[in-house]
Amino acid sequence: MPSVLAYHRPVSLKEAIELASQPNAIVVGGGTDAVPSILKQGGDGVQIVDLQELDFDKISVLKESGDKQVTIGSMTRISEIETAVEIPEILRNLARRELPSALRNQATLGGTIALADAESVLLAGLLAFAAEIEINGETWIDLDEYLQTKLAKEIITSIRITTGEEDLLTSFQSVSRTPMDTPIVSAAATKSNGGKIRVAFTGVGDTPILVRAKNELKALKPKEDFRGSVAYRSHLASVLYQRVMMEISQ
Amino acid sequence: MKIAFKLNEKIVSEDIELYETLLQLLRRKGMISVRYGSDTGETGASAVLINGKLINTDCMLAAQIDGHEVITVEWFNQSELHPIQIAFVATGAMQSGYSTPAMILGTWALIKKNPNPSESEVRDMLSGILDRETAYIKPVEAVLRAAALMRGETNEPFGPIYLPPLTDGSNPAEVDPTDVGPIASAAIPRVIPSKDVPEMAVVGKPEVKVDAVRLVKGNPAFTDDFEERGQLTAKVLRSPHAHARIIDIDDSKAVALPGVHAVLHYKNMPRTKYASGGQSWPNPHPHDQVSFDNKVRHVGDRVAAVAAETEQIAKEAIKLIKVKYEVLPHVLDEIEALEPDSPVIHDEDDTEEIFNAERNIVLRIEAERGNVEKGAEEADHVFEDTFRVHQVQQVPIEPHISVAWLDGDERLVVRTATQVPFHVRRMLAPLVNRDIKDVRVIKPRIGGGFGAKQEMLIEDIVAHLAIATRRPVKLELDRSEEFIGSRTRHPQTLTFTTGVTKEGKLVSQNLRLIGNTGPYGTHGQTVQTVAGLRGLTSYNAENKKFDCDVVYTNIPVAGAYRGYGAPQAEFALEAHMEDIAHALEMDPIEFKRLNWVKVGDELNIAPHLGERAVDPADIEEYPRITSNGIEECVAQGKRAIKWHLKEDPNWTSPKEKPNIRRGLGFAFCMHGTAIPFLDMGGCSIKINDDGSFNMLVGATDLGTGADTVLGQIAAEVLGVSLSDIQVYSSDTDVTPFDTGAYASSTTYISGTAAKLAAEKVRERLKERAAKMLNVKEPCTIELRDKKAHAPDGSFVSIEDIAMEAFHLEDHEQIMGTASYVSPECPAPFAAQFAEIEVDIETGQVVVQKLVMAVDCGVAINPVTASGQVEGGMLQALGYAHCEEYAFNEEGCMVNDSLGPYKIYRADEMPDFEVFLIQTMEDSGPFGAKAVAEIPKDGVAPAIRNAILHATGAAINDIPFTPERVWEKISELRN
Repeated sequence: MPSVLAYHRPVSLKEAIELASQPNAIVVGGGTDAVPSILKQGGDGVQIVDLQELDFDKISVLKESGDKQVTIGSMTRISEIETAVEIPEILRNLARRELPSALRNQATLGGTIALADAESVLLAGLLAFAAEIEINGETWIDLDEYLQTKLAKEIITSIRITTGEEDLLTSFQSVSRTPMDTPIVSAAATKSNGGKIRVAFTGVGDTPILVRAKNELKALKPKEDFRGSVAYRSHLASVLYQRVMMEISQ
Repeated sequence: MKIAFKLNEKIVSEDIELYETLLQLLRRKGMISVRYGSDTGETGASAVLINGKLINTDCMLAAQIDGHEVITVEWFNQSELHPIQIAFVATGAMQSGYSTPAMILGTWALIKKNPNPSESEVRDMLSGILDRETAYIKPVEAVLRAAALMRGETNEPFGPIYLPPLTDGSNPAEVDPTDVGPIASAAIPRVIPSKDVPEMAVVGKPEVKVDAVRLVKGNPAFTDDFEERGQLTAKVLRSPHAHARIIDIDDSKAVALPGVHAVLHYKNMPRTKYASGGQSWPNPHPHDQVSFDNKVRHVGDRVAAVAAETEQIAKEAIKLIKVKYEVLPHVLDEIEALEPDSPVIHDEDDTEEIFNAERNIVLRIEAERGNVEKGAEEADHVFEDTFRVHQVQQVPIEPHISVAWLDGDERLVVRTATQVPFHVRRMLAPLVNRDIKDVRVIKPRIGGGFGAKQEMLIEDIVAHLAIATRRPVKLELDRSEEFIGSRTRHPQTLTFTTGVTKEGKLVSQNLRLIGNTGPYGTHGQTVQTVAGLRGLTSYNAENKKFDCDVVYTNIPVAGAYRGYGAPQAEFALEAHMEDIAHALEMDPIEFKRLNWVKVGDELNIAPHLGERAVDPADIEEYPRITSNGIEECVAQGKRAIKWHLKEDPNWTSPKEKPNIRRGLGFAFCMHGTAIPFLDMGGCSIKINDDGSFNMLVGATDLGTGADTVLGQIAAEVLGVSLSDIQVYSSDTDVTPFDTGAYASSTTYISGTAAKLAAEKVRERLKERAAKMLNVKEPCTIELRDKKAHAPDGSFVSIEDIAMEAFHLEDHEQIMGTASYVSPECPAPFAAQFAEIEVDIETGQVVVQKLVMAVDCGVAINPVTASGQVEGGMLQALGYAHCEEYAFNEEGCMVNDSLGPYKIYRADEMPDFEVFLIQTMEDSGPFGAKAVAEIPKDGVAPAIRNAILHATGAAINDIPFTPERVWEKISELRN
C-alpha cells in the first residue's frame, strides 16, 4: 500500500546515477513538485532518490577572454538564485517571480529544469541567456535541446550561462491575471554586445520555447486553457515580442 | 525508516513511514502550530523554519528532514511573548490566526537576515503564506513593528486615527483636490467620529482580541488540534462524473483491507432526506439530499465513505471500492438547464416541493410593490441590461474538518469547524436517528468560514462512521475536495429593467434573476432572495419587481458565501446605474445620489422577500432607513482616491505609457444587518469570586473578532475591562442558543443579547452594592473601574460584591441570561472606489488602489472592524479580478488548486485604505450596525466602472481577466 518503497540519499554522483537509472526511481531535488505527485498518485511503488547530500548547490563565476561564465549547481534553491549577486538581475527577478517565498526556499533549479513547465518564467529567462545544462556531471547540452528532448532519467548537475564582460541588454514582459500570477504568456529577451538577440516565451508551447525570428511567431502552437485561447495567446506573443524587441533596442 | 533531526533545538530520533510528510510527523510530535491547508505548499499554513528558512512541510517528506534543524512557533513559547508575537497581537494581525504561526516564523527569519526590512521585502516574505482574512495589511504592519521592537525601538500604540468630517453628515460636500488626507500606515483605521456617539470606556477602543495569545502562540485551538484516543481517519469517494446513476457498488475489497473499520454508501445507509444549509427551522425546501445517494449530480459528489486506522489505509480503501455508473448527460449553465431537453437532475420520487423538477427549477420567487409595467410605461426612458456573474469559492485556509465520537453516556459528540453549531445539532439528529438531546456539537476556533461553514457539510459522515465503528472518526477535506466537494458562490444571470424620468428619477425597477444553485437547493432560496433584496432596495422607485428562478445544474454545489447574493446583485445594479447615468449624460454619483435611499425612506420591497416574506396586503408600515452616513463616506472616499484625476487627460492617458489607460470607478453599497424576526442570539454571564465574569455565547467567532466585540459590549455595561471577561463560544451543551455566524448578525444580534445579559448582572450588582454602601436607590450606583460607586463618593469593588454574594450574605450566583431577536434590519452603507490601469493591447487590468468608506454605525472595535473591511475587500477583489471555476467538457473543474485558482497574495496587493464613518444606530448595541459583508459588495462594480472610464468598454460579466477585457476593447475598436 505505501507508495514509497525506498528512500535513498546517494552521497556520490555515481551512486545517484545508478539509483536514478532504476525503472521506479524518482529523483527529488527540493520535492515541491515530486512529493505531492508521488503522494497523490500512489499506485505502484516508487524509490525516491534525494540528491540533497550531493555538493551541487554552488554558484561560481569564471572570467576568461572577455567572457563571464556563471555556473549554478542544480541543487541551488530558487531563493538563492534570487539573492546571488553573480547572477544577472533579470534572472534574479525571474527567480522571484517563479514561486512565492516558502516554495522558493525549497524548490531547486535542477528540479525546475527537469519539470520543464511550459509556464516557467525562470526557464524562459535561462533560454534567453542560452543556458547550457550539464548532465550526469559530464555532458553539456543546450537548455533548448534539453527541453525539446527531456532526458527524464538523467541527473542534471549544473547549469551555466555565458555573458560578455558587460551585462546583456535584457527585457521581460508578461501578461497575467494579477501582478505576480503565473503569466498567461511571457517573453524574456537578451541582446549581446555583438547584437545577437534571443527571445524565449512561456505559455505558447509544451515547454518554454525559443523564438529565433519574428516569422517563427506564426508557427507557435499555443495550447488553450481557461486563461487564454489559442488566438489570444498568439496575439499576446506578437505584442510581447514587439515590446521586448523595443526594450532591448533602446 | 529511522531519522534524527533537531526539533526546536532538541535532537529527536523517530521511526517514520516513507510516505509520511514532514507536516504529519511534526503534528504527530505535538507541534500543532504547524497546520494543514494544502498538499502542495500552496497555502503556506504548514511552513516552519528548516535550517533557518521558511519552508512548507506539506510538500516535503519526513525522510528529507533527516539531519536538519526544524523550528516551530512552539520554540518561541515562553511565559513572555516574543516581540514578534507582541507586534502581531498589538496590530490585530490575525483574524482566525490559522496561519499566524507560519507568518511569525517567516518574520523571524526575515528579521534575522535583515533587521530593517522594507515593506516590499516583508510582502515578499509573506507571499508564500496565503491569507483570506486580513488582506495582509495588518500582518505587514506587524512585521514592520516587530522589526522595530527587535532593533530596540519602541512603537506608538496601535489604534485608529480620528479625522474631522468633510460633510455635515447628511449633505454632499465638495472635496478639495489639494487635500491629501491623512498620512498614516494603511493598517491604521481612519475613524470619522460622530457627535451623536458618546465617549465610552471599552466600546470603540482598539482592544486586543481575547484569543490573541492562544492564536499567536499556536496553542491548541482548531478542530484538528485536539485528538481523541483511538481516532480513525475517514476519506470520501467522490464522483468522477458530473451526472450519473450508480448501478452498483462493490465494497468487498475495501471492507477486507486490514485496518478498515467501515465503508458506507447508498446500499447500507438509510435514505433520510435533508437540506444541508445551516438555517433556522424549518429548513427551506426542497430537502433534496441524502447522506449517500444512488445518483451523483456533480463531479465531487459523495459516493461512499471509509473509516480506517490511518489516512493511508483509508485512501487505499477508497481506491478498492468498485462503482458501476450509468453516465448521464449533464448541464452546467443555468439558462441551458431551463431548456426543455435538458437533463433532469432530480428525477427521484422522494423529494418534495421542487417547483418544477422536469425543468430543473428548484423554486420561483416573485415579489412586486406597485406595478413595474405601468411604471415603465410612464417613464421617459427604459433601460435594460443583462449581467452574468460566475462561480467562486470561499477558500478558508482551514478546510472543512469534523471529528465525531460517542461519549461515556453514548451521546454523539461532534467537534467541528462550523459557523452554525446549533443548526448542525438539530439537523444532524434525525439523520443519525437520535433525539437532539443525544447530540452535542462543539465549535472550537475556526480557521475561516466565510459562509462555506454555514452548512452541515460533513458532520453526518463522521457521525455515521463513529456510530458504525464505535470509534472517534475524523474527516478533513483536502484542497481539491474543498473546491469540488464543499460550497461556492451562486452564479447568476441578472437582467435589470429600469424606467427613469428625463430628470433622472427612477420610477420602476424590475430584476429578473436566474440563480444557479448547482445540484442541491441548499441556500438556493435565501441567497437569491437576498440578491433580490439588495438589488432592489438601494434606490427609491415606486414600482419594483423581483422575478426569479432558482435552477439546478451539475456544477459543484453553491451555498452561502459572505455577502450572500448581494455581491452578485450589486455588481449588476451598480453597473446598470452607471450606464444609465452615462446614457442620460449625468454624473454617475449625482444620478445615484438622486435616487439612493436616505434616512426616513422606506425599504419598500424588503418585507416581501425572505424566509418570512409577508404579503403586501398584510403590511401596515414598511421598515425605514434609520441611519445613513453615505455622504461622509462618498466625501472621504473621493478625497482618498483623488477623484478629481478622473477628468485629467494627462493622468488617464499617460504619455510615457502609450498602451496604458487609467480609470477611477465608484460603487454605492448597501447591506443589511441580520435577518429581522429570525436571527436570534443568546448570552449568559456569571460572576466569579474575583469580580471577573464568564460569558457564554452561542455565537461563533470565525476569526472575525466576535468574541472580542461581545466581550467589549459586556465590559462596557459592567464597568470592567475586557480582560475581566472570559468569553467562551460555543458548545451546544454549555452555551445559550445562537443561530450562528451569518447574515452580518453577530455584533448586532448577539451583541444586543450580550448587552441585555450584562445589564441584568449590572442591576443585581447595583442592588447589592446599594445595600453594602447603605444607599437607598440602587439606580444611583454607577459601575466603572471595576467598582460600584455611590453618589457620595463611597464605593465597593466588584470583587467584594462577588465575595459577599458567594460567601457571606444572601448567598447567590450573580448571573444574567438574555436573548435577542430584532424587528429591524438597519442598513450599513459604504462608498467603494477603485483605481485601475488597463493595458489596451493585452487587456491586462492592474488594480492600483481600493478605498472603502463604511458607515457601520459605531465600530465596537475599530481595529477588528477595519480588518473585516480589508479582508472582505480582498475576497471581493478576487471575485472581480481573477478567481473563477473553469470546467472541461465533462463538467470537471480543471483548476481545483490554489495557483490555477488564483487568490491574491501579499506581494501583489493594491493599496487599500479604509474609513469607518460613525453614525448612531439607535437599535444596535451602543450604536453598532453590521460591517463584515458590505465590503464584498462594491469592488466588482467599482472596478468595472473604472474600466469603463479608462477604456469605454462596459463589461457585464466577471471576472475581469485579460482575455475578456481584451475582447471587449477589441469589439469597441471594431
